[in-house]
Amino acid sequence: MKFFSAHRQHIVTVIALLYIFLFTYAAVSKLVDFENFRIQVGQSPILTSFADWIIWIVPLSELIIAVLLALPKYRLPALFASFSLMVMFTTYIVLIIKYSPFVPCSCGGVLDKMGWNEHLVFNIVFALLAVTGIFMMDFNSFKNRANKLVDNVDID
Amino acid sequence: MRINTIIELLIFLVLSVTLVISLYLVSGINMKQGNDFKRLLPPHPVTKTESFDLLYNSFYFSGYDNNKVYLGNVTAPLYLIELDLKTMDTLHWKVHVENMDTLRLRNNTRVGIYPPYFYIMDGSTPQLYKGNVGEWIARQSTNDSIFFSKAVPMSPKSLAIRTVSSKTGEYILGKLYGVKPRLYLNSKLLEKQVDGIFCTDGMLHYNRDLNKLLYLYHYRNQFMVMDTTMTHYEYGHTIDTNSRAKIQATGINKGKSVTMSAPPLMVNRLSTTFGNLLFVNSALMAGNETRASFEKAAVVDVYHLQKKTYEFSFYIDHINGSRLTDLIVVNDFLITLHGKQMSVHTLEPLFFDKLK
Repeated sequence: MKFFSAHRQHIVTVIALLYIFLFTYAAVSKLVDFENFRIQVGQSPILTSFADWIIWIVPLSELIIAVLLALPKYRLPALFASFSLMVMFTTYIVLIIKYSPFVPCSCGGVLDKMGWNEHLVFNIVFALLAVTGIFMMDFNSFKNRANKLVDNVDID
Repeated sequence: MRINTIIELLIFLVLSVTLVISLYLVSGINMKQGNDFKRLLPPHPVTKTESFDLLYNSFYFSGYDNNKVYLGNVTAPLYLIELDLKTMDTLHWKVHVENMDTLRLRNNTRVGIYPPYFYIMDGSTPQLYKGNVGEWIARQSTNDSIFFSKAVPMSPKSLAIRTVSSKTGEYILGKLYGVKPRLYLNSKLLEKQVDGIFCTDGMLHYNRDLNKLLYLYHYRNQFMVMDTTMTHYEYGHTIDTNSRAKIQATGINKGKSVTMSAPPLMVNRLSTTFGNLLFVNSALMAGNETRASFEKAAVVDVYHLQKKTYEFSFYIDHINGSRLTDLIVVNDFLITLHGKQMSVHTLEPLFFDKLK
């Protein structure tokens, strides 16, 4: 526990960096091979009707979140956004595995090599990382505010 | 403070999950539209009487001669099975090819039967061999360079073919003769709706009793009945409401090839024709069917080709989870394939005699 409290700030930074790397990589590999990505989403048995929007919304949100994570001021809301996006991906995978009439081929880059079950575990781990980051930042800001309060008291 | 964060996280969790599930549900509703039609499902128009284990799932129906049905094999193009409908016996044949060394066959090689002849047809090399049914010796019939993606023998000297037009790059129907002028194409027959390839894909049959050709689209509710000159034709419709092919095609590899960018809405999966009748295995559920019964069987709709009417439908149950892979009707029998399983069904005279 001592380790965590001493390195809390660093852990948050590492989590943010992991997310920045993941989202940038995912978004870029989608955009580079956009035709393929478009076809894969279109052929997904779950999102077919919305494919035209989703092909733009997903990589753009990934990029925006990656930028926000890099800015300390927006890191907390960005972690919330990362968490939400991961939960959405996870829900999508669960729906694919459980309810889809057929299982389509998947995402981009190395993530493509993963099976749907590994993908599920991978996503859950990332979602939990975001939760960890949020709690740590939250604790930091709590402590900062507490310190400020004490300072104020001193001045008074 | 921490309690608030947990609540916030929970709210985001629930919202995210709800969003994706609603997308999924709405998407499903959009996809299932268009079953605004009804089927007539009389009790037991067909009865299963025999079943055979063929050991391989690569067979398909090549054709028939009197009471004999012939099955070709996709992976072993020179291997045939003959089913005698009188004795319910099967015989296995190996076709001999003269000049075996010139033979280069691909996976899409098909065997076609036009008694007393049989053809070995490979449209991608392209090659055509011909011989006598029962003798099973094939000689090279032409040395043309005419490629085709489907072919059906329709006289002792000609085949109906589907090929790709060199002008438009779209599917086109035509006729391949054994004598000059060798090739006739009619670009009016197939009607382009989207891309001219996927949207016009379908099934080509020759009906020996009516001496007509049939082309039934996969992705719209339409079929064509043509005479063997391929100049006169008329349209018929299947009972569903999909008059436009619901497919999207996208060019990939810098326009060199085309692929489907959304799952197509399959209308007509399989079909066969005999006598006055057209049998169609439809992929669409009617408004008066239950999903449970529709999902455990293949539905076959019966149409009368002369009267241009829909008659009724029946179910062919999946066998061990394998769905219907091919069907043929010969005299009073319907023969079906479910992967390795071949089944013979009798057509009940009560329902079928009045359609003869």
